[in-house]
Amino acid sequence: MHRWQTHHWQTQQGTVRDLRAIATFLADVGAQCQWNEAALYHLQTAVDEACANVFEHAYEGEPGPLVVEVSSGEREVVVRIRDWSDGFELGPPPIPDRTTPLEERPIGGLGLLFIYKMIDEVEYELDGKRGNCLTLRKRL
Amino acid sequence: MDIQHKEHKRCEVLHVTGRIDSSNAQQFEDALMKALDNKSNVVVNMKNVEYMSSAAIRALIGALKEAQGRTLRKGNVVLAETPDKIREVFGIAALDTLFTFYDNETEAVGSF
Repeated sequence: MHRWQTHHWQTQQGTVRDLRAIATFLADVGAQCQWNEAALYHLQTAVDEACANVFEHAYEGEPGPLVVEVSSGEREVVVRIRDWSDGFELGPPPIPDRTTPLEERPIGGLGLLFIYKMIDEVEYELDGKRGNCLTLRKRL
Repeated sequence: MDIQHKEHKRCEVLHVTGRIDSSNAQQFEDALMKALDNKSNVVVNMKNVEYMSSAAIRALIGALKEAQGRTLRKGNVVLAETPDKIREVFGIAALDTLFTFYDNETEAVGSF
């Protein structure tokens, strides 16, 4: 029977400069747990967008604590990203329309779109004490 | 991320290598805008791009709007040799209808 494996990455003074290290951490876990290439890329993209959102918007560019916990099972990966900010609005973004001309295309919201399109289940829980928790579940 | 410039008669080619995320997307946008000021038409060779975040894609959309929105010296931004995994994100964002993708750089340069 395949056992769940859990790995952590954390920082007390995180900024966008840590995004590469977080991607490398996921690649290392993915190699160890034998994720397929597409699953790894989707998880790296979603986690990168989520962490960038925390660093840039929730912490407003100031260094802050962040924990990334990855639990990998036989058929599913669960990533929990904790931050200690005041939190942020999270919900499924509108689906973009291919027929909208360039000048009318909104320039924001793409990060959330990637998260919701590449991840099977997304949950966000506000908790000032234990840390706000974004949970991403990806089937393998 | 590393960006190498190559100038042609009617366009400038940017060879981008590595990862473009929120930590360096501004640098990417600056390079795109500088190339547009120089030549109006820009080819971004994506062959060696490992990863593009939404911040990098926003920079590309901004450059495309700038190029096509100019009243004088209207231009374009096209993409060459884009890896499949990166092409996928353009599809998700419904941007595959706005950008022109070329299989190779020669074809992209020749389009201008």
